[in-house]
Amino acid sequence: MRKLYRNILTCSLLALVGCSSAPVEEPLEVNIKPLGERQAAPKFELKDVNGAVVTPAEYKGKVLLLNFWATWCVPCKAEIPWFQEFEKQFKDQGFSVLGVSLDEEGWDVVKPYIEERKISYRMVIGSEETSTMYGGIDSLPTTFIIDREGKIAAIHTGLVSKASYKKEIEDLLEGSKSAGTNTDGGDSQFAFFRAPSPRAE
Amino acid sequence: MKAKLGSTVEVRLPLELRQGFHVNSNTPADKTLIPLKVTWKEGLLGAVEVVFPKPVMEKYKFSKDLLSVFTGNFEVVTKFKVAPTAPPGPAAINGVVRYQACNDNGCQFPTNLNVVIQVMLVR
Repeated sequence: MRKLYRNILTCSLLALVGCSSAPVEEPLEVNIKPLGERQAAPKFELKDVNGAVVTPAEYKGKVLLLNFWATWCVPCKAEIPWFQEFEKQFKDQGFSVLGVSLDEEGWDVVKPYIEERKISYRMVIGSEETSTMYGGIDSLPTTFIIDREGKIAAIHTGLVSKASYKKEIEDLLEGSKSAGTNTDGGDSQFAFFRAPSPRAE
Repeated sequence: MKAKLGSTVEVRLPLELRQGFHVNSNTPADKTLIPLKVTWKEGLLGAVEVVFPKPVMEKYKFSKDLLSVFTGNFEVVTKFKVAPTAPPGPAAINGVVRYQACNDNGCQFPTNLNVVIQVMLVR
């Protein structure tokens, strides 16, 4: 699934990580785009753990938190209880969470993981195609908050605070048209991990 | 690098990770985490032992638990046995470093880094 990234990294010996600059404890970082700047969430058809087809269109009329994650991603793990809490708290106001796992091993690793942690929100297994449709997910977690019209209202690459998510969800549920000025990814940091020439001893 | 037929040679693979990032060690505590792995293809030189440095236990803001990681510059040492019947001359050892790196905010996808070591086999 991640062949594209691997090839690029192998050739250049570069491993790139895009990440936001907002740590968990920091103040609110509300990045809701103005209505006119929002684009429609790309369509996909992915299956949930029961084999039912899931599409973003199902969520039209609701605010959807679309979270790309993986079982090996520790920051992703930190967000899971928040998202469960949000879905429980805002469900009646028209809010849902959809997790898109990008684990290469698919349900073999994801199913036990969600069972063990009793993850209550809906989950699907994403593909490289899904990732590409959403701009090429190159680090996790990456989260899209989609408004009731099915348009992307906010994007977060990396971990942001629970309070920031909550504020964005509340604003969208209330129909707030607030426009944040901060954007994630503009100040991305890049990591590289390289193996210089080995030496024998 | 020269290696005598039938001998055991030690190869140090220096790895460098950009500041602010870490990779899981070869022995992460959580079974869901992807460990650092160095694997070598069988050839005229066969890997007999791969030795990783001692991991560091670090605390990150996204985790309650300490994580077993490598950061900065470190070396992975591999001992190779040279086949006594190998033909003298140039040879290559091909390997793969598999790692999964994160910083304080996010994680990159698991990555395979190809490594080739050129060796001159001598009697």
